[in-house]
Amino acid sequence: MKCRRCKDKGKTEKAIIFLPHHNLSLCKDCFLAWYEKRLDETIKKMDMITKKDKIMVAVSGGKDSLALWYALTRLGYEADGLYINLGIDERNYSSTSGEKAEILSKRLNRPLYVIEVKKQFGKGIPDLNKLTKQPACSICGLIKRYFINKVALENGYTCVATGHNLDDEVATLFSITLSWDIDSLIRQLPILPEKEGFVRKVKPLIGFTEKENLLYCLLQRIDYIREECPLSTGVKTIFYKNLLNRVEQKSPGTKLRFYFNFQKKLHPLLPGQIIPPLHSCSICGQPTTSYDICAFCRFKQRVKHSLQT
Amino acid sequence: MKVKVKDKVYQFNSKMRGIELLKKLNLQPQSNIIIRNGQVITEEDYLEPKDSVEIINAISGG
Repeated sequence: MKCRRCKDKGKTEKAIIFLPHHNLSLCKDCFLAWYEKRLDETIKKMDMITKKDKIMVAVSGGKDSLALWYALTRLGYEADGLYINLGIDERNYSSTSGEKAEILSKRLNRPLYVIEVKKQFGKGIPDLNKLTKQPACSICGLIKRYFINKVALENGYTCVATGHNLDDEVATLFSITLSWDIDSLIRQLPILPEKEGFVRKVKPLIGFTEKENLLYCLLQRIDYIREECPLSTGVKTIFYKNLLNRVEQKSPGTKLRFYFNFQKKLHPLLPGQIIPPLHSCSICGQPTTSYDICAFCRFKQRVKHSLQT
Repeated sequence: MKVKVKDKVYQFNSKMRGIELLKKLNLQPQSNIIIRNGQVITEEDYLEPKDSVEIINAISGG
């Protein structure tokens, strides 16, 4: 199989990937050029960020967020990293993923902020899960959302970029569509605009599959954590992703159509999001819809209480 | 050929296309990358018995 882009330029280069959803076969150099151009076009078309923004990339040590940080920097965006060490010791998951984020930070010569869950709570996510009986993924989401916003605001970042990819977004959209969860459908946007106390959040990788992000990492020699989070074993997301990839195999382009046609055709028909009035948390000062303390501080109190009993 | 998938190693002795190998291993082409002797290849490329192959899965739990 030959590279289509090279063929158009009268050259002959062997392809290393065929993208059926774009009907495109590309060699190494053309894939890298295609990936970065498409990323920049997505960012500009959707008004996600500009070169004037001070961007914080929430990095997990995985392929998607590291590919995003690397590509944004190559495109000339001012992007630093934030890594949240979740305190997952099984198979050295957190320490290894933290190392990958540090390696890229050094390579890009950009700062990396690090938050340690164990320093905040005295325990990592698996122990917090056992202690509070709250699902691990829900605790992880709560802690990440809190610190991503807090660290970005405190350090003057105008925007947070996350590594959510097409497969992530399609699996989520599929899951909430199955239960016709309208409130969640309303929130399924690639940009969450800034509002008082909340920094803007963007998902620049929504047009890329996980495979494309993985290939970008491999070709750019970005060292990422290959192991799956030990707490995510058997999660529904993976089941939905496999299922949707089977549909994609029969009908290439389904994932792109499902996601982008939702944004273009269905989302505008949904009612606007009702945002309850925000208050300052009486403990940490972060914005909250609660009249007293925010969900994060409530969780912190719950942990403290559980440790005392 | 020796085929590494995560921490498992499989042995195949016949020439085949990448897509056939993925099928034998029950892996989806949409979420896997084939590396032959250190180089990324398409699923249409052939794999020889002497090749050293690694398959990397792209799916993560999110």
